[in-house]
Amino acid sequence: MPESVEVKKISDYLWEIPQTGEMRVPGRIYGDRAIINQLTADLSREWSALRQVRNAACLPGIQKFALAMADIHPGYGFPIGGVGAFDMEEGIVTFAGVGYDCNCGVRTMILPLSRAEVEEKKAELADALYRGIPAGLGSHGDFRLTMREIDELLREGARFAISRGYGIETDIEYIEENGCIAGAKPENVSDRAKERQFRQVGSLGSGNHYLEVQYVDEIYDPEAARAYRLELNSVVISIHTGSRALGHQIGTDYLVKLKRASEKYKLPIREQELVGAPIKSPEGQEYLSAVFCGINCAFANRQAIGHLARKCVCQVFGTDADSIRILYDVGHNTAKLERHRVGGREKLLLVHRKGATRAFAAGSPGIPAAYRGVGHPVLVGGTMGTYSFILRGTEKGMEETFGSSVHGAGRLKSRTQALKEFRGERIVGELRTRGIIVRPHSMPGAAEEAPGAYKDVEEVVKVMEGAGVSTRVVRLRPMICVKG
Amino acid sequence: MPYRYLDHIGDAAIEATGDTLEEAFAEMAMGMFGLMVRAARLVPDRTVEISAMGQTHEDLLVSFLNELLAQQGLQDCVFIDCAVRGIVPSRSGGYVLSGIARGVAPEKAEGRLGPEVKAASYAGLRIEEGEKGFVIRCVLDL
Repeated sequence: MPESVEVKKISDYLWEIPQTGEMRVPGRIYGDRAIINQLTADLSREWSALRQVRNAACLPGIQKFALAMADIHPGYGFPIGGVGAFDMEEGIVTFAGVGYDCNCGVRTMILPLSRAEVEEKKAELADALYRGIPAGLGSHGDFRLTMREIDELLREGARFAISRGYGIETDIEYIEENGCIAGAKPENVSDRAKERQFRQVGSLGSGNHYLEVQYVDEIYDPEAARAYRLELNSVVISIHTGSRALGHQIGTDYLVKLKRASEKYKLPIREQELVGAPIKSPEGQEYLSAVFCGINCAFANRQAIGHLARKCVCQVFGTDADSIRILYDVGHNTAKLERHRVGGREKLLLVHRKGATRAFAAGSPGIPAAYRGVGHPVLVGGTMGTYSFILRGTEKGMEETFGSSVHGAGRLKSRTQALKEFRGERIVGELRTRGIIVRPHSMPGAAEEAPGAYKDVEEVVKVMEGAGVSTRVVRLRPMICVKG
Repeated sequence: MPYRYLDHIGDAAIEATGDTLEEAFAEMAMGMFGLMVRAARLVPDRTVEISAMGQTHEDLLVSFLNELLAQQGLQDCVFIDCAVRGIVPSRSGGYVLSGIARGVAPEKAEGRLGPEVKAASYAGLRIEEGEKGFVIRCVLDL
């Protein structure tokens, strides 16, 4: 009989799992009544996101709350949408907080073109992007690296890609951590992980990874939209991908190592993927340095793909590559050292975000100067048939969620169910009638990613807004979607 | 049915069966391949030796599936068939698996490809032996 979990209402958009038993902090879930009802119903299933929030709350050194954003669904150890911040002395780094795709995230670039201009050549642009962006199972990027070069890439992140001609110097300013997190040690990443990545740098991947051309169809926050240089009908390209095979192999390798470390340090592991190690232990430091390599790999990957997308736009419209500016690039599967207020004082924490986007408010450190007055753009992917959103973080979010918000719509239906209900060809056809060109590398993949398989992203972002954690700046509607 | 897909909101859960552990492991691999490619009428043109180690049968299953995923990338192919020759105790403790996987170049499977599996996980992992053989379950990250 699956374990039950008590959930109490704090407000219309915030719910709590009270601290009981081995829990070191309460669990907190952002959601409305419908989301919580679904989570509660799922308690009868083998895989329950609520139980995962409760299990994360039992980990040593966790601060304030084990958190889940409104796009919560079952993950591995942590739920997807999970956030956990850990004290540097007593806390641990856990595999569950990062997962198998380090720094999977979103990059959004603003095109110097109007919606009308893009509409005129939409099919041509869709074809160029489909041909120009390596995607799908078995796809290769056009980078070819030696072992020494891949070590450089893991240390330098997006800068490495730019040094190879993939991008322009000013791109760096608009990437989280300026595209390169310090502390990456390639010697802590296996040769196999590097060998698997050789051909994959600059490739999109598959599953829910995508490249979309979108336009701004609604502005909610004119001040922030101005700071982001977004207007009604501005056209952007959004890229959702991560560290590809290197991230997968780092996960596989360290799951085994961290299992041993968890036994050595007698960590209370209620689910296998919650394995970890004290942050300052040799095992914890080694894993963290490998995660940082994965983070840099993903930055380099999105940098390379962004550059390829620029080339496609230039080829179709004759624009200058330099005129295509990065709005922002931010990850949603990361473990990073950040300063936050706990118990009335600021302290250094290790913040895990597993399917949660960093959402730093105005005035926070590490934000591009142009966005300092409003907070950095929080990029939230929707589905290929609905919307995506750009949000901004709030002071309340800094206090409550360590500056985090949702990362997407969150799945509503399993992939198996989606394949039963939807046909890829039909989804593509239906979207075409609504003016959205979908170029999937896999029709079953398109069916699995059908808009109907996801929660309503608008409801999800409204929950976070209702809770005061993040607010909507603009809504994006898709025009072209290239699916992996 | 040697394998079936279970309902899992986020990713893919597979239940596989076999008279022996080797058969059940091979069926699990076939279930994993089935997510990535519609293999009907594809004829494998390459064979890759597969070996894996694990302290427990559960560790061995995860290690085996992840080895297949790694080899698929390293050998630049899409696997469509698998056989597990043996699972035996290792001299240094735990278990060792040996087997083969057969596949085709990705371009030969164009139009038949599905999403790439990122990794095999321990979530909900189960290996049970009953009167009718082995039943195993695994969740794969997509």
